[in-house]
Amino acid sequence: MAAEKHGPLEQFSVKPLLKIELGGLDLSFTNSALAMVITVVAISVFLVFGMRSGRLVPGRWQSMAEGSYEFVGNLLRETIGAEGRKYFPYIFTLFMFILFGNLLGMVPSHFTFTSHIIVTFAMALVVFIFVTILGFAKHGIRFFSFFVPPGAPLAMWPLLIPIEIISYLSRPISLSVRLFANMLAGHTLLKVFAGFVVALGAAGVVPLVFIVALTGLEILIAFLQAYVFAILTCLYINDALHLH
Amino acid sequence: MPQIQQLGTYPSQVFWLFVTFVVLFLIMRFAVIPKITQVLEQRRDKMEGDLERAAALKEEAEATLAEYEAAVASGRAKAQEVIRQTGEDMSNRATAEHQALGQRLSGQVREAEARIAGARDAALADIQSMSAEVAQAAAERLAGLKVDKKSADAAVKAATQARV
Repeated sequence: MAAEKHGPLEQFSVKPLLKIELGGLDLSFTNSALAMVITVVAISVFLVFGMRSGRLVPGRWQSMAEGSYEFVGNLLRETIGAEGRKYFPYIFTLFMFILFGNLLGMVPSHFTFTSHIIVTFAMALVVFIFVTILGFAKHGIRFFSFFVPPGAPLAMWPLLIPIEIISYLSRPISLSVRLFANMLAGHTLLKVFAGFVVALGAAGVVPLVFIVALTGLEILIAFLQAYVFAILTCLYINDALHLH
Repeated sequence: MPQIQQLGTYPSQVFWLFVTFVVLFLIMRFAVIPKITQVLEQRRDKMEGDLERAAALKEEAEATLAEYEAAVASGRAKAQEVIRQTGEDMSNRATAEHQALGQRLSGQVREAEARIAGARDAALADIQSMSAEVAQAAAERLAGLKVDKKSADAAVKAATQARV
């Protein structure tokens, strides 16, 4: 524990800021919760104030706000089609929440809540449960035909159906681990190289340059992972709506 | 790794994730998304309206042009008609006048001929009667014959007829 205090993983430790206990559960307001609140405030400020004037010819800020809206709108249209409109508020919130969580995590000393497996897993599990319920609500018992690959010979079914079910059940795991691992690895790597800068003295310029490049890459990954999470959610919804 | 070691923080993390996410969802769903949708729709409507107005103006311009061209064409046709009509009228009148003049002239010629014939007849008659008188007088004076007027006339007539 003591060794971890100043190690590259120390940045991920959750520290309670305000002790709250409800029904025997520790629901303390932590640095992770603070990061979430800051994320929500940042998104709201970005979008509400960006659109405040609602000009016909948008300025820079309004263009960015509209751009994020249209980006998610196109994502839904391309993956689900016209019926995807219904899920827009949810996908938009999900995308913005992860994107801002990732990007704000790039600010030094700001906690990155998406680097915690429990947070990403909770989000992925909600997506998984929502999609499964949607599939059953739309197709009833026929939803199980989703686990039978179309055109597969009957003899292959005993082999293919378990594979399909396992791949379906592993969706929340792959969805959550992808985001969590990317954030964890990126931030750990930055911290490790930052340690080299101090340790190497004058030669520390080399890892410093590397950190600058890596920061750029991490910002790209922050965006990319939010995009991947949103597009996979869209694809899962599309699967539930159209089966194959 | 705190992610796995700090199991005690899981309820808190999930709880605050849920709370903040729902709050963000509500802000997006009821404030941000309607606003952006409204602005984008307003812009699309404005653009569509502008395009429609431009199309209407174009149509109007085309209609005006067509109207103008029709007016020019009908004017040209009318002018052609007037020219043709006038030409026809003039040639009609010319032939009519020509005919009338011919008729009048031939009438005058006939009249003149009739007058001449009358005059000649009258002259001939005068000549006959004078010849008869001359013949009467000559016969009285030369032969001492009293010839009555009737037989003198007949004799002159016979003589002139034989001559002619």
